Amino acid sequence: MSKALLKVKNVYKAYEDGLIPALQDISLVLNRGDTIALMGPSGCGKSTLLNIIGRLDRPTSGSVDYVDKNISHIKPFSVFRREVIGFIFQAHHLLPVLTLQENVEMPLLADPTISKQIRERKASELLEVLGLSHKKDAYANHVSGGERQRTAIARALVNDPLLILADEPTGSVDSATAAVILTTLRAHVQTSGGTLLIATHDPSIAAIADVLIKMKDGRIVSITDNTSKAGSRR
Amino acid sequence: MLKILFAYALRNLLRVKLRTFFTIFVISLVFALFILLTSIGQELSSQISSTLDAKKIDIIVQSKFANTPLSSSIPKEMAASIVSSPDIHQATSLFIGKKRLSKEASLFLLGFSDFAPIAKRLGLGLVKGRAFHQGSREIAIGQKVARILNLDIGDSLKLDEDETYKITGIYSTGLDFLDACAYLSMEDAQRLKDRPDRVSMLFLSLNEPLHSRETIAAINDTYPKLVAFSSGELLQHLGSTKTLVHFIELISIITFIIASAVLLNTLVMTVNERTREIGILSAIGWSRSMIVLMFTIEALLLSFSGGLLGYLLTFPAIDLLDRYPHMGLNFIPASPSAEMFAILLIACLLIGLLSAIFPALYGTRMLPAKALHHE
Repeated sequence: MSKALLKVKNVYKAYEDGLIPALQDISLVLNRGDTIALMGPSGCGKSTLLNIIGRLDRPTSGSVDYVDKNISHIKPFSVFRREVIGFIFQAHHLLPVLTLQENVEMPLLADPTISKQIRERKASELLEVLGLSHKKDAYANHVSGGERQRTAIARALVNDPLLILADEPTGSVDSATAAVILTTLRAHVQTSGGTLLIATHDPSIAAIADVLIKMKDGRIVSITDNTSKAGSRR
Repeated sequence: MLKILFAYALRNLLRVKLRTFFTIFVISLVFALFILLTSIGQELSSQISSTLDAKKIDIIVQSKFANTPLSSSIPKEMAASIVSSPDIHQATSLFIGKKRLSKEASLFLLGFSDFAPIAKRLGLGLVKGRAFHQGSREIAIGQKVARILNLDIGDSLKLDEDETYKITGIYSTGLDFLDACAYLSMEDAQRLKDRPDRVSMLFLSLNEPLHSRETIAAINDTYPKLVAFSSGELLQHLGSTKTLVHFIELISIITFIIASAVLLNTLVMTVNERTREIGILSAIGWSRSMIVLMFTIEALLLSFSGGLLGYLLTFPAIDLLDRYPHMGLNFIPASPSAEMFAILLIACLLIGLLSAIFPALYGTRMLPAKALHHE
C-alpha cells in the first residue's frame, strides 16, 4: 500500500477571472499517519488549499490525487467526501435548528447502509469523548463557541475519515478546549492510519505536527519534516 | 432518515415562525377564495342543469335576447299558441320576478300556471303544510326563505301594498336557488310585478322527446323573437349567468396564480437564504438529491398546510355567506367542492415541489466553498 494518501500537483488558484492569485504552483504529498500543520499569515492561501484538497473548491489548474486517482474524476464525489474526508471549519458551521447529537449524525444520515442505532451510538460516543454528553440534546445555537467547535470536530470524525481537513480548529477556543480537540484529532489519526491537515496560526500545533508547511502569498515557502522521515514531500 | 429530514424541515419552518405563519395564512386565504369561488360557480351551473335535466323537461322557450329569466318576456297569446301544438304533451308557464322585502332581503317569485305537475318535476318536496290554492292569496315558500325570514305556515307575508299572502306550505328541493324562492299562482305573480299579459318561460314536455330538434326548429322559425332550446342548453342561453360563471372562473384562476406566486416567492427566498446551509451539507457529504429532498419536504409541508387550511377556511366562509341573504347569493354550496380541493392540493404540492427543487438544484450546483460564504 502506497504511503502517500494524497498528492497535490502544481495547483494554481486565481479569483476574479485570474486577476487575483490565491495559490501558485502548490505541490505536496500527504502521507498516511501524519499530522501536518499548515502555517502562514492570514490570506496566504491556507483555507483555499484545504478547500481544493477537500474539493469544496476547484483549482484553476493542477490536480489533487487521492491514492493515485485524480479526485476530480471520482464520482459520485459526495460518497467519497462522506466516507473519506472530515472537514472542520473555522466557523464550525453547525446547523442551528438541530441538536448537537443530530448535527453529529448528519454525515451518517446520508449513508443508507448505516442504521439508526449505529448512527446514534457513534454520535453519542464521540460527544462523550469530547465532553459533550450532557449537552447532546441542546440546540447548536444554544451552546458556547467552544462546545460548537467540539461538536464540529465530532461531526467531522463520525464517519471515521482517512483525511481530516481542519481550518483553524482551535482558533476561537480556550487552551483547555484546544488541548481536547488536538488530542482527539491525533488519536483518530493514529487509530485510522489517516492524515490530519491543519491550517493554523497556533505554534503549539506546529510543535506537535509531524510536518510543518509554511506558506506565504499563495506559495509554499518551506516544508519541515519533524519526524525526519525520508522522502521528498514536494 | 425521513423522520430526521421531516423534523429538520419542520424546525426550519418554525425557526422563522412569523414568516411561516404569514405565508401559510396568505396561501390559505387565497386558496380558500379560490375553492369558494369555484364551488359557487360549479353550484350555479349544476343547480341550473340538475333542475331541468332530470325533470323530464324537453324544451325551454324564452325571449331571444334575455340575459336572465327575469328579463325574459313572452306575450301570453304567443305562449298559448306554442302550448297548443299537438307535439306538446304537457306545458307549464312560469313567471319569474324579484320582490324586495326590505333593505336587506329580496325574494324570487315563481308564478306557475299549473303548480302541481311542475312542482313534481322540479322536485319540490313538501316539508310542511300544503300547496297554495290558485287565486286565493296563498303562497308557498322554500325552506331557506322560511329559515332566514323566520316564517312558518299560517304566517302572513306582505309583498306589496294590499298584497298580503298567507303561507300554506314550505318546500324543499335540495337546490339552494329554488329553496330561496316563493311559489304562487301565475296571476298573483304577474299582478305583483304589474305584467298581467306576459310569462317569463315555457317548459315543454313532448309526446316524442326524440323529435325535440324538429320541434325546437319549428318554434324558432315561427317565433323569431323567441328562442327554444333543449333543457341542457339553458346555461348557454342565460347570457349574464354564463358571463357570471366565466367571471367566477377567471377570478378563481387569478387567485390561484396569486397564491402560487406567494408560495413560489417564499420558497425561492427560503432556499436562497440558506445557500450556506447547502454548502455545509455538501461539505459533510450529502448528495444533491438528499439536499433537494430536504428542501422539498419543507416546501411540501408549507404548501400542504396552506392548502389544507385554505380548504378548512371555506367551511366557515360558506356558513357566513349562507347566513347573510342580503348578499344576494343563492348558489351557496352546502360544502366546498371536494373535487376542487383534490385538484388544488395536487397543484399546491406541485408548486411546492417545483419552487423548492429549482433553487435547491441551483444551490447544490454551486461549489461548496462559494456556498459557504454566500450572504
